Amino acid sequence: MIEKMKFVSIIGPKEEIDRVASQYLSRYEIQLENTLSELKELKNITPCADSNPYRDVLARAEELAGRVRESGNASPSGEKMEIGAACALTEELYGELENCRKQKSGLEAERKKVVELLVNIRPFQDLHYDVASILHFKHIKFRFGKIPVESYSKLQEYLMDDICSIFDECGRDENYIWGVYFVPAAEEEKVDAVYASLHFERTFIDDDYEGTVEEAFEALTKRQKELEEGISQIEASFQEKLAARAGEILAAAEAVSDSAEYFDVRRLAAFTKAKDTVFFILCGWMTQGDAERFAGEMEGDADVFCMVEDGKEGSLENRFRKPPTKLKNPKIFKPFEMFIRMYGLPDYEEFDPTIFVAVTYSIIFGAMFGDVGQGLCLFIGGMLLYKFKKINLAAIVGSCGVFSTIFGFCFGSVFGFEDVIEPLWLRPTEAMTTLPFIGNLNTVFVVAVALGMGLVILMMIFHIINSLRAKQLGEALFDTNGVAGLVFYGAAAAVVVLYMTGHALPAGIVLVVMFAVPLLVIACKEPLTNRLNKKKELIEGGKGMFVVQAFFEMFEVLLSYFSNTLSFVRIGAFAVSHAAMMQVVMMLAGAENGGTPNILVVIIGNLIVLGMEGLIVGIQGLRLQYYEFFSRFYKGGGREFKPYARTVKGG
Amino acid sequence: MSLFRYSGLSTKVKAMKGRLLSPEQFREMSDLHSVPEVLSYLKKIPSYEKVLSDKDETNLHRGAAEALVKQSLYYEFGKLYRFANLEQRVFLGDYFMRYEVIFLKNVLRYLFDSDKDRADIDLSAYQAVFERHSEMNPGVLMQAESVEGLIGLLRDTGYGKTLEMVSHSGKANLFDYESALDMLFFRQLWLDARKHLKKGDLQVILRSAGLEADMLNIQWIHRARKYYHMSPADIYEFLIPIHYRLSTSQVKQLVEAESARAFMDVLQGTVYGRDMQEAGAEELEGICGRLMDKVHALNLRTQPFSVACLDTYLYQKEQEVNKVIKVIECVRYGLPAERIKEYLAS
Repeated sequence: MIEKMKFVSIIGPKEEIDRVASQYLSRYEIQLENTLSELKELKNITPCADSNPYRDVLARAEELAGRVRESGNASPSGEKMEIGAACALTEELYGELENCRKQKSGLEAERKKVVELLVNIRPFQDLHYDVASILHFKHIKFRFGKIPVESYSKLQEYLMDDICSIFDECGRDENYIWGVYFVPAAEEEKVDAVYASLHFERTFIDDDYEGTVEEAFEALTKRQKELEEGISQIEASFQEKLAARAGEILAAAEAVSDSAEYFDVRRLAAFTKAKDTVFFILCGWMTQGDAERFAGEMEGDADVFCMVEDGKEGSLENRFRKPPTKLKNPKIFKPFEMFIRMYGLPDYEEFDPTIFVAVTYSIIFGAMFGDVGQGLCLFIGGMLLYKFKKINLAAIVGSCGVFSTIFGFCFGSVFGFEDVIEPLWLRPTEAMTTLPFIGNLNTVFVVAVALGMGLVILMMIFHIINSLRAKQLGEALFDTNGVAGLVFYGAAAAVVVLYMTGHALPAGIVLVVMFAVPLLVIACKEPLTNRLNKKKELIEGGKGMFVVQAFFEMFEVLLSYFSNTLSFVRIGAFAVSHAAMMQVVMMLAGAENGGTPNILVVIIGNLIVLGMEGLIVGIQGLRLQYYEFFSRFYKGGGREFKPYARTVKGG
Repeated sequence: MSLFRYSGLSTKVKAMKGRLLSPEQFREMSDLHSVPEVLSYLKKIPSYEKVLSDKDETNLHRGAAEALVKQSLYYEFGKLYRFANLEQRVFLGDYFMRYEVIFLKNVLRYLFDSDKDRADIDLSAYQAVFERHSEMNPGVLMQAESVEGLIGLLRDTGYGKTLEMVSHSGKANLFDYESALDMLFFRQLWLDARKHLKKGDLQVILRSAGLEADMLNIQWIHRARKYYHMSPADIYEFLIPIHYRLSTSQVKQLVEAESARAFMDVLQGTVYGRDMQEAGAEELEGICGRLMDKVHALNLRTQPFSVACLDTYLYQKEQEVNKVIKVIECVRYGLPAERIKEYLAS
């Protein structure tokens, strides 16, 4: 079922808009529409130009609240906070945060410098020598730096013997070798040139270090640690302050975000000026019941005025958008709404197929998976999961389990033991029917196809009803799923049934009327529809094109009638395959020669079949729903009802 | 065993070899008077027909024509690759680095020579074969605005790292980048060959690649001394770090030789001395070329059923393509046929 919708407009002075939002809109389920586009024929309305005054405060409050949430499991203090107090609190704490950031940045700058120094000397750690004294050599020059590995090998190979220099390797990675070379002051220029040719890159080391590189490195590392500790201390003390007022902060953040959100109602509102007062107009959709209660409550409000329009045909036509869809089904069918949502919600004027899906899906599932034991397992497991985890799919599985059990009794199967109970109806693998022309066939197949024919005809009737509701007469009469299709398919089905049951066929002339006329009508659907709608041009494009297209379309239509009907064989096929699979399990368990079956194998086999077949049957059943049923009558082009603000439940 | 492994491929290569241009055909080409004539002559030759057939030679720009001629080399490479088995494909994959390096050098040349307009370069020569054998995208790389941009695009490859190191050292010029790429190629080939090839195959590749490295080193030392008067340290820096038949001390002597005369004397003392005897320093390039020809031919003769058939064929095809481009250039600048023939002979 789809809830009836009312279009509600609220009008009042501009100052009242925040009050309306917090007082009414937060309590009722209403889907607000953009008023400007709804009332586009009105001239003197303007959108809201104010920017949200809470934007900055909101960002700050969110940051503070984020920190609080990160640090622990604080919950907001119970009572609501006044917006003014909330803003003040946020500003105060944010000021402190800024303050502490400033302190931190000083320390961070120093840490950065230390880290840089560390990076500079890190490669030279293996130089066990007092840097300061190297730095003060008089006649020997030194160069710290790195040289590509490649060049270093060349240096060793060709040049080391010729130049007056010592290279002390301190460390290396895959590309570079770090080290220091020494050269007598007299040779400096020549040797530097050689090293430069080999792409030696110098690192300049300041006087800031004392002792050997190792000692300097340690000292710097220590300083770095101290600085880091200082930074984290500042951070921690601030965090403590926050923690002390965690509840307040969260409440403040909530209050601010509420206010900001209520303010944003303006974006959807339109404003109009009358005399000296500016009025706001808000509009949106409400369910019928809500709308009535809302209107009742509004009457007591002197400043604000509300108007409820019917969601009926006439008034709908000048609405900008169609009413949203809100599904309303008895609780037991609710989980099946999931399948509808997966396909697409029904249009407001379409009918909601949830109940139909729930019934047919469960029955088809049961028929394909008839087993008392496994059905009960599905039922119990599904219901338990639904109860504790609220998974919709589990509820669907549970209700499918019920029908599995019922069909299990019909087929006489319990956990694959076919001889424990007598079947109420038949055994899928054994019961055979002899048909003329086709021969011997499993009864379940025949029943499945017959059922399929019935369902296809039902779908066509649904389609005709839907089209009539949507005032598409051409669609209802001439479509493959319209009256013409119904006559043709019904006639074909009737002929097949008559033939199979051994009755005499109707006279040839009747057959011609029943087969040929509907097909012709379907082929000429477009021109006929155009004629109905009193359009001038009956056929778009040339006649030849039309004939060719109609021919191939006819071919496709006939083929799809045939294949869609046969598609229902799968119901029978899975009923048979379930029995066959369980037979294999029994065979593996060693029960085929009348021995006692291995309990473990039976349990594992049952679990595997339960999981595998349950999955396959579930998917195949859904496939039947979507392809054979929905494609015939259902469009699913609706939009969901999304109430504004957190509703009574949420807030 | 190698007979079985290479039976198919060596037959294929023999057939493809038959289609290489003969000296007679080069002579005929030299007698032609214009670039379109040369191109229509090439169109009739099976190995160039494929790349030239749907082009109109009369208004094909010379640069574009050269790109197409080069494409025939890549085309033949692809042909061999399709024919090769898994093991041979591994080698061809390693070998492809050669073409990547050639391409990157081209890009670098354009980057340094900023006057040239890159928009109308025909990249199709590279595109097709690179798509299959390389992770680089020539079209994208050609768009690089600067060397840094190029390095950025090559970030995840060995090339990127190598080029980055060169650019880090500051004041790098085109020659630094090119020699770094060459070094990378030889080092990589040296490693890959040892890793992927079996004994006989390895010997063949070490012989040809080693000779090429030695030859390039000799030529570079010669040029650096003669034309650029570089200091020994600078020369060492860009030598390929592979010694095949030249020892460290010989390289050292070559670099530090007092004069051109002394340089030649040292060269005479090396294993290559016998081939250098009859020639002066001026013809060093020619001699090196001839040595390369000789070694490749020798490889194929001694190990016909080995990776030599690939290596030698690709070498010969590359030489042929270079020669064809030379002929096109000569014809374009109106050199007399006699000069062209002389030029080709050297």
